[in-house]
Amino acid sequence: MISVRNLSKSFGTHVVLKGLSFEVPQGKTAVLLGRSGSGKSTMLRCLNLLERWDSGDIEIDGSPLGHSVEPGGEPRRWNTKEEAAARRRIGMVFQQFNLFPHMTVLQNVMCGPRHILGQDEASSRALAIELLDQVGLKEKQAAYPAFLSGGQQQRVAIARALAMRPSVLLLDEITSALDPELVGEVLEVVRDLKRRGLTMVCVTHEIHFAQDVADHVIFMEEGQVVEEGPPEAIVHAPKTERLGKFLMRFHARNGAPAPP
Amino acid sequence: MEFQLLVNAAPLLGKALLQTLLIALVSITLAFTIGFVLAEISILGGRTVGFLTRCLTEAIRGVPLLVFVFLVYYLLPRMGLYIDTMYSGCVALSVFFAMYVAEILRGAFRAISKVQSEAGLALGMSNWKVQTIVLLPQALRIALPPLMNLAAIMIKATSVVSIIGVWELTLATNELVMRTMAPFTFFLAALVMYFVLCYGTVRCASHLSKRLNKSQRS
Repeated sequence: MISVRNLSKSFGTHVVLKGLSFEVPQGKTAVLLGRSGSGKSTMLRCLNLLERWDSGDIEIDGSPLGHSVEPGGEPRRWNTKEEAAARRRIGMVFQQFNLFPHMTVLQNVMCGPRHILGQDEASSRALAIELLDQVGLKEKQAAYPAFLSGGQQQRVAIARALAMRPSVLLLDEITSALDPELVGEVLEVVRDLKRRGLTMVCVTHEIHFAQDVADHVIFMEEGQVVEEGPPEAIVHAPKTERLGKFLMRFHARNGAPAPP
Repeated sequence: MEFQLLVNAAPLLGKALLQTLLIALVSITLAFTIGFVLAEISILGGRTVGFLTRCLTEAIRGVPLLVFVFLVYYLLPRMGLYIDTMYSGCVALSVFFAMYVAEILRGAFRAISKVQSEAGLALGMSNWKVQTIVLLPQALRIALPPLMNLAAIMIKATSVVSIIGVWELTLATNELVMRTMAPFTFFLAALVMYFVLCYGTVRCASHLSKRLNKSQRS
């Protein structure tokens, strides 16, 4: 369960998030939809403490993220150790995969359990192989990332994040850097995770992605939630003019007829 | 060339060569270690610390090695450190070249995209683990050719410490020349030995860098 309340953030004078609030129930998949510059990626990075916000609160599974409240005292901002500990429970997959190029596929996936959780070699290897099997890349374990296709690299990146056994997975435009014919294999993995009941938050500007995996779509513009709801309602029955415009522009660009 | 002279002097030259090798090994190891620590301090330390380390680096890089060797030679006893001249020479060489190592490593770390650190952090790594597990191996791949080049330069630079009376290849050769009045024979012999050491280092480097590059598409 993730809950974001009244989150604001600015870079200098540029306001990126303007009092954003939403909730993602346990085991559900939320999609933050919006064009680039709408603040959706910044929002996602806040959930993993890669970005710090100015005001507002984030709670994950009932405990506040980013600071602790000591009895009778002011909230104290986490130090880097506490941040690292929290990130172990929050997986993240990036648009550009960001695999470690000097490690093989297997080493990439083993890296978390082995070096961060301090598990022994054998059990980290077993876990890594199991996860690679889950994303359909068991036979590629000895390859280096540079020798894989984008879709394969992204599946390895997902396996690497899963190896930490996170309670939440954040996906940042994970299909945007892929050739169209490779998107399917990555989406298949995401659907599988959804079936397994992992809580996920995805960021995308692609409506198909939202339709495909979301339980709940949150449409954002200029750092605010404009409209939210189940994917069918968002895509086929937009209530606000801004969402309608976004959909129209998307369909026009992708050659499909504008929705009624 | 007086061949017989060379044969007679061979054991002495061999010993001197070993001494040069020892000085080079100690200095290179120390320089790489100090340089790595300095690079990490300037990366992980805050703005002020980073600025101070860069000042130190630039200051020492702006001084001639010969002067620096003299400086360390006279400075150490002043600071209450009475160590063998050889170690004084090693300290001077290590500290002097550590500044170059720090610069090379700092540049190599900077050349790696920021998203690599973010990927490590997102997994839950500490800053130190990001540096050592994620960034260092990638930085070394970039830094290896210039570092090995520096190692070859350091081997040649060991000859400078003969000036403070450290007995090694250059000083030994000079002594032999004084005794035998055969400068060409002995300086040529020394030259060949220096060349073999440096060329060997360079060959090792290209072999190593091939091995480190196996993760790359050629």
